[in-house]
Amino acid sequence: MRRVLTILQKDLLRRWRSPLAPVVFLLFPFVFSGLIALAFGSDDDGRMPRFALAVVDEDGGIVARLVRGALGQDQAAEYLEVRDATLPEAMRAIEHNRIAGAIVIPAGFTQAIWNGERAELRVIRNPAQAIGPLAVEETAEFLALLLSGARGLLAEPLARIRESIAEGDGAAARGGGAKGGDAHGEVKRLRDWADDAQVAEISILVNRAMAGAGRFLLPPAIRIEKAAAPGVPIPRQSAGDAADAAGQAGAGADTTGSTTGGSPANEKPASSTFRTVFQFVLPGMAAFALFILAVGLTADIFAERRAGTLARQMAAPLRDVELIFGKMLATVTVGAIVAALMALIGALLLGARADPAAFVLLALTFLLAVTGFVTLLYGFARNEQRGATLASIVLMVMAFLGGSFIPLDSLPGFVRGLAPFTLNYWAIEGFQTLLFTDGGIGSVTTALLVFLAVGLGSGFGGAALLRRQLVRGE
Amino acid sequence: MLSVQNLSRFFSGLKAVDRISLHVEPGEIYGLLGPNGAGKTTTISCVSGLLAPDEGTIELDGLALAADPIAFKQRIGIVPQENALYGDLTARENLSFWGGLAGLRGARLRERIAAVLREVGLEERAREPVRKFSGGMKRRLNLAIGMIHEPRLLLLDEPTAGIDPQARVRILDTVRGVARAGTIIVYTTHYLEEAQDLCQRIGIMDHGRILAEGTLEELKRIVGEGEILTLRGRFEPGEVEQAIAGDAGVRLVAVESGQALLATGGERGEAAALLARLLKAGLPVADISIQPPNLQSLFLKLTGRELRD
Repeated sequence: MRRVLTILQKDLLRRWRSPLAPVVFLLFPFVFSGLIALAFGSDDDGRMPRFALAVVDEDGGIVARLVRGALGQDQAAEYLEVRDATLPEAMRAIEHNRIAGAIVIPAGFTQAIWNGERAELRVIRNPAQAIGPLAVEETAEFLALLLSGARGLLAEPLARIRESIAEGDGAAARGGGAKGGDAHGEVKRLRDWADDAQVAEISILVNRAMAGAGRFLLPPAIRIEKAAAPGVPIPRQSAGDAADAAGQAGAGADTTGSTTGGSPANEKPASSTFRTVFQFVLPGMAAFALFILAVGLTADIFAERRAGTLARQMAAPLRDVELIFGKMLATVTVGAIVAALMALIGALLLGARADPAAFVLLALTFLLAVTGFVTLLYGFARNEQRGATLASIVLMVMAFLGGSFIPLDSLPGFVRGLAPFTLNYWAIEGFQTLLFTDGGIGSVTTALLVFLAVGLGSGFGGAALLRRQLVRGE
Repeated sequence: MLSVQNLSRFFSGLKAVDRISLHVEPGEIYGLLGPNGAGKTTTISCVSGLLAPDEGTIELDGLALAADPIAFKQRIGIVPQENALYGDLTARENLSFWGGLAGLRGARLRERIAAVLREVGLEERAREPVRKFSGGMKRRLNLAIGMIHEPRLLLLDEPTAGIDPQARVRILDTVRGVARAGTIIVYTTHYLEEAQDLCQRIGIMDHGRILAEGTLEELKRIVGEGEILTLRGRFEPGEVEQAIAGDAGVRLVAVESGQALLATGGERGEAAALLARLLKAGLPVADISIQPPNLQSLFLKLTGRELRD
């Protein structure tokens, strides 16, 4: 073990004296993420085009009007030009290629929501356009998600409202009053029949549901459309933004309980989109950079062979495996130092915080996995040139499949299915979880186990193959 | 004592080392002399444990390399042909690393670093990065690393290749000093003068085999009193053989590329008489050189090639 540490000490000293590669790979994720954020996160000239969309309201109920109203909100209006239309008008607009598509709210939609039954939104896509219809479809999917969440969230208050109405209807029937009608009418009847105590009870139920769910529901509702695709962890905002959002959420819950309480357009400073894209891209780029760094550091054993120092070490009184593990440990350590500095710079730049123990553990196990994996590749390849070629190919494929270059939700389904077979995927998942959801070690257990398994398995296998290669002088 | 018995090593079916045996006593400098590709480095690599021999045994003071490679390697130092150094580290840091690998720690390590730096004359440059060193300084540091842990056996593989005469003298003096302290030394070179000046015994190696072995005087006796004539000219095929056909005391060593090497018997003045006969026979000799008995002539006699080949 002493000799392994001697090799580690020597390699750390060498890196300290020639720090170019670690410094380049330390800065790379920040520079590259910044460029991507500049290209795609600009609020000025890089503004996304607006898509024209028709809303066909065949329902006319209160929920349908809420949907229509939501599409007219500031944030949605930034990307969507929403027009009210009848179905024939919408079809004509599509035929003349004036709109990207239409969302049809069929008759009975509000009633179905009200009754807790299956409700349906219909989307008509303009086949003459490529991207616009996708935006319409995404919008409809988001609305469906939002409504489903709201209905689940407010199930208890809705049931209580229905009970109150039923009690009121019963009293009216006994007194010969009106009953029946749609949801809009039922709200009116609730006002008529419920006494103050019942209204207060229902208000408290709504308030409790919103307060409990607000911090989960509201930020995604705000941020999904700004940067992240659904299903991807959402970057945490800065302290100021978070305070604003919390205040808005609290205000909404206190007054109306509306899920549209946080106005995205109002809370978005000039640089927020840049920051959000930057935060979103950074973990993937960091994983990619650490991977490349590990490839370079692992190849150092071949550089030592060319320099003659490897042969001299093999003639020294240490086992070949000690020599290889010493080199691997140096790679893991240098990588861990670079990862720690990345985290520090990230924290200073973005105000992002993570559980330090979990972060260090995740970074170390990731580097162990990467180092072991790269050693295995070099061991299989049987010489430096083939090893470098193989490692580069595998690295690029893993980076692509794992989401380092393109967000996974933008990739086809079969590619997303392959993502968990890459180290990049688990690194991105893990680091985003730690950075943006206040998660601890428990939240990244799967990633830790994957890294440990890959690191130990491929590390021992790679060391054995590499040893054979070095001893044979291949 | 270093004892190597019937050592063989193959590369892709070719014998790089072919049944070599040698024995070297403590304090003795044993020279392996031969041209590039003779098998010297392969022999050193096998003895140092870098390459596993295909046949044969290697023992140092009765400890077999195959039985306990780590303990065996603990007792040897190697000075490879290339300067196996870390350019980004200082001389002291290089020595500290290699000493650490050899098991030295703390005060003992510091003491040895100071001692070897003194021996090779690099105390003043100890804190400079090695990449700033001249070729000769690197060679001296390369040697110092091999000696850092005071090995029982020091293997030097052409340690003076490509350096200036001053640095060479310094290295040779250092090696002599190490030998005087009782270290067993195996020294490979293709410089005849070095082998003659430095080594108590010399093994002449070519094509993976030791062709002759002994002290310088013993080797000279193998050559005998005869001389080597090198004739240059435009010789027709078979012309030289025909010209010396009647001389029983003359042996044709080699004819190639307009050059013929002839070995004479032990009679004084025989070379001059031979030359006169050849000229009289009409052999188109343009140039001639006559060498007295030395390692070069021995090597020529044994291999038919000059050592620089």
